[in-house]
Amino acid sequence: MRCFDIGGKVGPFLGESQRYIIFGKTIMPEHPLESPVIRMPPSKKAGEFQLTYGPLAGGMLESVTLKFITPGEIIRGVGVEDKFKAREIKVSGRTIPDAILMIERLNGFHAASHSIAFSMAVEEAIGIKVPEEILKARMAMLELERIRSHLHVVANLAEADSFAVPSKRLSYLSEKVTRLISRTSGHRYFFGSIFPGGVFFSNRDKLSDLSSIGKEFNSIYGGLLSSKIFLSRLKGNGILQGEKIIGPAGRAAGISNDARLHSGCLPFGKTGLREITYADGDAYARFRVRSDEILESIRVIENLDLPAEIDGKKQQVSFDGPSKGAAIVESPSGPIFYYVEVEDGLIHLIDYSFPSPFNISYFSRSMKGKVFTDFQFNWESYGIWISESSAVIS
Amino acid sequence: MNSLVMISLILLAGSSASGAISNRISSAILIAGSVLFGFALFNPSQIESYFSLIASVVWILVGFYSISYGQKYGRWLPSMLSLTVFGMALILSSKDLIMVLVGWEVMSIPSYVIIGLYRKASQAPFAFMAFSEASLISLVIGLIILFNSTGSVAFPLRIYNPLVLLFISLGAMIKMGITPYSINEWLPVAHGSAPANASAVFSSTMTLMGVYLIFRFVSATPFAALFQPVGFLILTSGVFAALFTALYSYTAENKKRLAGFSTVDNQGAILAAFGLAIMTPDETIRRFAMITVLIFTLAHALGKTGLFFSVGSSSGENIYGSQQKTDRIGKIGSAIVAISLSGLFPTIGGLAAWSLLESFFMQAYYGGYIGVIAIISGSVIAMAEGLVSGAIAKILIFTRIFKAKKYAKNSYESIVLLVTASLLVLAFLLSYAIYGANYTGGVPTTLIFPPFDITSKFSSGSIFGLVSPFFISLIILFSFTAWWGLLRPRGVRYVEPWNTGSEQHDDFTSFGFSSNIRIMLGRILRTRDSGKESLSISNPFWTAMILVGKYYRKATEKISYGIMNSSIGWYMIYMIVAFLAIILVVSFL
Repeated sequence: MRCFDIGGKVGPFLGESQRYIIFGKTIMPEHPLESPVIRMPPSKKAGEFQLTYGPLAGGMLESVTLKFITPGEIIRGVGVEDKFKAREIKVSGRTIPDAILMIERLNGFHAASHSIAFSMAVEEAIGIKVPEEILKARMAMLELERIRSHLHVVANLAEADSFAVPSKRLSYLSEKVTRLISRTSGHRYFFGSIFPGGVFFSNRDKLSDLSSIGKEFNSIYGGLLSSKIFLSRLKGNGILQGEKIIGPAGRAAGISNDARLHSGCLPFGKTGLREITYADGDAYARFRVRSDEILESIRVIENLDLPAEIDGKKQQVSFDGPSKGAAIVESPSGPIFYYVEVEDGLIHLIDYSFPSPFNISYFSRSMKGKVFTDFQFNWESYGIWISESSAVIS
Repeated sequence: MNSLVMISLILLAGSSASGAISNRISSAILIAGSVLFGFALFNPSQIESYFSLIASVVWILVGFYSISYGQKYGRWLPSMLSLTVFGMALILSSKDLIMVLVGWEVMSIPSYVIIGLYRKASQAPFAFMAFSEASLISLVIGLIILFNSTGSVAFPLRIYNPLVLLFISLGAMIKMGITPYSINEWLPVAHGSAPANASAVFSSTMTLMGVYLIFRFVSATPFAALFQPVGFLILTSGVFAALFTALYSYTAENKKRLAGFSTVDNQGAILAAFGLAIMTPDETIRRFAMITVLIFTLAHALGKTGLFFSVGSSSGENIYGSQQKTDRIGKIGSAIVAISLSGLFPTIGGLAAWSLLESFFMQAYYGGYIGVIAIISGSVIAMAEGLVSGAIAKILIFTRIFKAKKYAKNSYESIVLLVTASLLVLAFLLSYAIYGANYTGGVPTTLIFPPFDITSKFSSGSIFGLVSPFFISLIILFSFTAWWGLLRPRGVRYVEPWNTGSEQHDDFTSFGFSSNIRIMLGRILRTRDSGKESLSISNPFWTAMILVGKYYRKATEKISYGIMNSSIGWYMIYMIVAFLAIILVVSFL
């Protein structure tokens, strides 16, 4: 395969699908995976009770129920019920253009990451080698999505602390990035702009706004870092340590696991991308990783030497590949992996690994011993998307 | 001993004997004997006689409660309970310390039998007996020193040697559930193992015997610098016990243990007042502190009796997990008891808390090292009282008031509980009589007319603070009546809490109620996950005492089985050494 060798453990752990354990350079055929999401809370001990939060509750963007088991004050365990957005998305048997429409809508906020990972897997399966300018455009799209997603997470962290001004300013920046995405791709969430073999991407100096966004974010970031109130809610909150931690949560725990650098799917290595890591593994470290990555992503886009415009319709698709392919990209919340098998122009089999189920399990683990008021900061720091965790693709 | 007292003692002994025949007959004789005892000994001009009055009122209430409650526990309970009361009556009516010691043992042995017969934990009766005997030994030592220094052990006493005060106080303290600077759990464990009527007697009047004994000795002790170290020991022991037992009470889940710890907390507060009375050079504060002891004792005795009645009528050992039936008057009675034990007006408990804090803060006003000790002690006791209020609120909220959803027909036991609760309010209204003319008066310009207010004052006569039970009661009565008439909600609707539509209907638990303290003071309470409870706490003092007890037992077993077993020679050596040691100690004292 282009991105992966089969067998062995080369590179950091990046996830698990139903068929494979995924590392930076290899995928290992393994056991079928149970979802890592801890849906049921631990059984109650004497005097404990369950505090149910959700599925529709203040502060939560999506429908999800959190079941806290507590003896009062302290949280001993939490189960996360994400069934309220459960969907079965039938992709097998569909044509590639039909499939991409469903994949990109699986989690609209990270549509670029899903579409690019899926498209690259399909491209390998059907034997397309895309030109470098398309790869650059895809990298720019991924980084734009990362900037917006990280801004959203940091805004939510500020909102959890009732910091209305920085929260609204960050939301405003997020909206500016969204409009930038709309101007460059034709859609606020990249819908329809990414597909196997190509992209729709129009640069024409529109990305020059990123510089001012970066400066404004830097000023808000500095303000948040100087607030003891804000930092005291994050430091020591939701400490997560271990070896097999993916995404920003892993990098916040000192693990070098950025799929952009450890996988060969996209040439991020040539951009001088600097991997951001912190050691403490708490919500503060996750906040720092995301904030630093916003600035780093802006720098990467500015250094990309992007083409002025790519008309995706001119790219040709051929059907003589090895019929199966796999690809991985580093989405804002962690690695997204797709494995596909294509027969006669139809998707025959699909396998995948998404970061949100892992992040939910990390959240559950790191809530033990914390108090209820810690929960929203901890939850937001993982950038969890229930739409992603509860979707089943068949 | 006058003839009425003698008849009352005979009746109490007769109550014990008749217990083998009938619980009801025994209870009726107990009531009659107690009425006569209180009537025979009470003399308003003699402050010590108030103890007899308090005790007899508690015994009368217990007698009425036992008529119904005691039916469940067979014939041993009324016999032993009446014998315990008989022992206490001996203490209160005795003219010398020898009779006090006799009464002490007569009180303790049947109590041991009750705890042993109805024990929930195997260590309960042994812990009770071990500490009872430790108490007796200390009292005997005090008595020997007293006799050596004055040549008499008869009341009224004359105290010249601080060691007398030290050992007598130590013996009485142990009976009150307090050992200096450590928290032992024998009292909560033992009282928690007994039926509710016996627990009420133990918690209210057995501890009262300790208070009574110290009261008599402190009253006979003049102010002198040589007594101040003993006063300091008593005061700090009381403050230490009050704070820690308040913490253990707040975090306890077993209902009777919670009540037992709150008993020790109250005893700690009383002990602190004794300590202040010994230490202070101001005669007015000293007298005020001694009256405070009496008021606090009255509030504690009645309040704790009500609490055990309330707890005894609820089902289950622990607070969480019990679904409680209650009736309307039981609910009202429990609420008043909770108000009093929480130190709130309009009950005698509120006056006791006010009076105690006034004593300390008046002393603090003088400054000096005693002032510093007083302000620190007063603050710690205020903190402890707050914690105990939380504990009492927890037990009654989760058993009798809010969590008890089903109404039952008013029971006989609830009527007794309501009577007890009413006495808490009545005692508050009549409390000015106990303070006497020196501490009562009025400030007509504030519409507080004499003699219905109580004033705390210095020797100079300047007033430090005042409280008017009558005025407070009127305000509360009028505001409550106005609310009841105009604003009270018409009809009560109970709804199940909405829990996001899920099947889970967990309520907030009593355990959760206390978990803030378990977590915040985790290092002091040694909070950990025990497997059974996610936040279990441990008492290092008690754990250490149990360990010492175990090692002592092992050591004695080794000596008795390994060395002395079947060896008359070693046994004789042991007897001679023990005899010589006793002679030496007694000669030294």
